[in-house]
Amino acid sequence: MQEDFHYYATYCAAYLAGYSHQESMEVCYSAQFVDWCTRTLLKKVGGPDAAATTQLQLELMDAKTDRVGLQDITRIWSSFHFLPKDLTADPPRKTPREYKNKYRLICGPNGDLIVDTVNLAKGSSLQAVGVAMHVMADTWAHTNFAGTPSMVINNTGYYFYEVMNVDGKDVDIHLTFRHSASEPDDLDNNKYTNSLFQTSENTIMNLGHGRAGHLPDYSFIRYRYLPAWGDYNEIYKNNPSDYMKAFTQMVYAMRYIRGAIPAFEKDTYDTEKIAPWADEIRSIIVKRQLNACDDWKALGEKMSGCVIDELDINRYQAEYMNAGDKENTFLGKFFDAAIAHKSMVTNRIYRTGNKLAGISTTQTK
Amino acid sequence: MNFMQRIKGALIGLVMVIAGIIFFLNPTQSYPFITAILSLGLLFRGFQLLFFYFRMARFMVDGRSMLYQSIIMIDLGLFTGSLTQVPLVYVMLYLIAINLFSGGVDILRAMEAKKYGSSWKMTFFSGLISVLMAVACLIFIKATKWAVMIYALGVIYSGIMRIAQSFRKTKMVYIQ
Repeated sequence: MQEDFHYYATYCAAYLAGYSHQESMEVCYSAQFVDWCTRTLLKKVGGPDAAATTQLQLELMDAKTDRVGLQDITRIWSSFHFLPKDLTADPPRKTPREYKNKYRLICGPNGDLIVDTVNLAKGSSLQAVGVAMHVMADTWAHTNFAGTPSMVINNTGYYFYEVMNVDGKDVDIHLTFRHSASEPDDLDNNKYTNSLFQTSENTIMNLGHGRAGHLPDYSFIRYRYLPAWGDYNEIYKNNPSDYMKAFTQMVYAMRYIRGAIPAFEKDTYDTEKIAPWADEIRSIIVKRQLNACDDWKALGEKMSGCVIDELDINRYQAEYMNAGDKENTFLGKFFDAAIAHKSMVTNRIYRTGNKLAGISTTQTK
Repeated sequence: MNFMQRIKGALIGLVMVIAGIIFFLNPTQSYPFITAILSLGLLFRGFQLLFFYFRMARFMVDGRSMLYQSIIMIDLGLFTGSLTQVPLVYVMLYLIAINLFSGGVDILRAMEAKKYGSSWKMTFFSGLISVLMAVACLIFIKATKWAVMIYALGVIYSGIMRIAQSFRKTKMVYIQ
């Protein structure tokens, strides 16, 4: 997902869940900051290295893909962008442990880890809520890809079709992927950029949905393809439906975090709260555009009657750098939330005997 | 490509340039050495792919292509290794055929990339040079020494291209 959903749509969801304008701003800024908190940024502000929630292209290009390097990449991407759905899942055929460990990191919504994520955020800071909402939204967008470099899991092939509505009928249009470093995706001609095909299992080109380009990040798109792990079973990905579920689940989760609902259940969505805005939300989601920031911003401002601040990566950096008590600054709380979430996910993965995200200890204190 | 992959690509290119120079300076005596390096390289890559197929790729959609690739490479590696006792002219014919084939594949790949609006010129010219070099070798095949020298120039060129490609800007889809 992009800043249109992580920032502006998250603002709308937080506001509908009952947060004030100011609280909603803090939640959505934190959700978006997950895509900004790189080691380069942490070095600049003097933040803890362990709080990294993403990696810059250049950081990834230079990342080592030895065992320790892969664990670092997997910790970041599995925790924040590709939350595994089922850490004990078994592939349809008997496979070696090495394959199984990667298979178990495939992302999907409504897994046990999302319940843990929401519960971790409950009673914590607004920054922790924002982190949890980023993770939750991405479980819908990044479904079927794993947050670890792997050709045997994340590769896609020639069989890839966009499903488009032409004269009221669904039509499959063969998608062309190109490896173009400079051109944006061409929606009119169904041409999309993806990562280069490389036959090396652990190359960074095979991280997450790189081989499927930015398709999972577009709310309007529907497509059919054969995932590398799927044993030749076709997957139909309906992003408009999934993005609507993501939005309604976020509203539901934040209402639970605020104490309006006694328990957080999987596969439950708050359609009531969004009912007055459902048509407008749906129309933004299905609109064929590369970026929906303007539409979500206008909707959010219509909901709250307040101006939503423009995206600004520097907004809280000076406060953190100049503070004596860094822990109580905006970024200080964000870093705490990020570390707590990363530790929780790494620990859960490690407890299943899977060391792809590294070794973790369970704190008993 | 990360830093280490770029270094690896550049080193392979450097080895090709050195092998090409040796071949060029000593066309009649150096070919067993060149075929031995080629054979070992193909065998190593072939067994590496075969191991990867049985360990991981056999569970992947289209994973069987890894098995085919590995068998072809091992086959070519073994065949190349057996060429040390064969007259130079036959070795040259074999090397020319390989070059002609890989050049043709490069041109087809470039055409496909052009169709998709992607960068294609570097691959196209690399393929074209391979084909032209193979054709020139065939023309001079009776003067084997000349054919070997032309082939050596082709190897040097491929090595330089490989080094250049190692430092080429590559796009990675940035996930958000």
